[in-house]
Amino acid sequence: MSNVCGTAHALSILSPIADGRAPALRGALEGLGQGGASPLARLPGTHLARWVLIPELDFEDFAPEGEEHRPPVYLLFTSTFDGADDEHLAAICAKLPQEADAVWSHCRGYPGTEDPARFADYMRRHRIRTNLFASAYADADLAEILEALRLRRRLIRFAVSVEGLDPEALRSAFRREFPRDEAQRGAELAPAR
Amino acid sequence: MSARGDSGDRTTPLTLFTAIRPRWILWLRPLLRLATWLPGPRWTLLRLKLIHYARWAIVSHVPPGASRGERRRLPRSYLFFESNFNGTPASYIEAFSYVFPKGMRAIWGSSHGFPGPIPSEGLRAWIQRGALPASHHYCAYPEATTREVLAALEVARGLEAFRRAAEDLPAEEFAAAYVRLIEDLQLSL
Repeated sequence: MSNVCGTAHALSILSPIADGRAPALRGALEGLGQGGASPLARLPGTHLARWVLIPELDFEDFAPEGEEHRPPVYLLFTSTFDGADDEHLAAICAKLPQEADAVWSHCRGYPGTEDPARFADYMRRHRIRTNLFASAYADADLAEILEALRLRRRLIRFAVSVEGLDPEALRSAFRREFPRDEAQRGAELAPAR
Repeated sequence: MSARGDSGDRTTPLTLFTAIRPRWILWLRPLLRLATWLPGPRWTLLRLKLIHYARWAIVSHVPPGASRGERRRLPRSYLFFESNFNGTPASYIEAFSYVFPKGMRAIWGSSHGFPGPIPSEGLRAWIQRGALPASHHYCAYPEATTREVLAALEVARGLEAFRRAAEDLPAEEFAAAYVRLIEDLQLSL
């Protein structure tokens, strides 16, 4: 499948904005929390996601002044996530129903999150089929990436802190910092490849 | 090309729709299919180590996934491209154009107005003119560049292997193995 690369899946949804609703949609998007407070942070296994306002797709070349001067006609949602598409769509209904409705309710024909089956059907009808998808970390899911980033920070701190220790003290310090039970959990999380 | 977001977010989202020349779509569709199955093109692109993920899609109808009776054919087909990169747009586009020139010509050569990958100034101006700003952008690891994620995965694998092999060694042998571990991982720390 061309929307899958290793553990990562690509989802792209292009929804037509209802007539006259673009300003309200823009306001809804601007009102969302940023960074860790983003509603998209509640979606399990989601690496990256975005909403983008898209102008009418009728141009041949870009307007000289840039596309931002053209009124938005479509709302594009994209996400990169681990797991199955159906689970991801169900998670949107379960984890961010208010925010999803606040955004997509400005789009034509949007059924809401109350009925997850109708929501998933709407998303499938507006889904862009990915032709090519590339991932820099094809073999690592989100949990592995976050754990690896934490481990790297800890190893850097540890390496600085143990400079000059004798072998016995070094081994004890290592066992305290990286205990065996954590290694077992880590092995389950990040099997050697 | 930017999004509103945390100041600590080191990834920049790029979203681009370009109009495909009429007959070129006959070439573009199989090319993208081929690139999905051949590891070379994707590897070359990711060799930049500036991109977390990238996707390309051809959009000819709206709604894109609707059945024939429900959808409207666009006046022309569009190539949708999305990526997330580290660094400035200028450095990203310059690196892209020098590392991936054949791939860029093959893919975006089908688009109206594509100036070619080199010199990169023209390409940069073209992309910046067409790039659509994200109204909302989320990254689960905003503080990490692609290189840092790749380095962290290398460290995690090395550390796991070390824990399994060295934890029960006598202290002197453990210390020697630890020094080797840090030397092996020094470029990733």
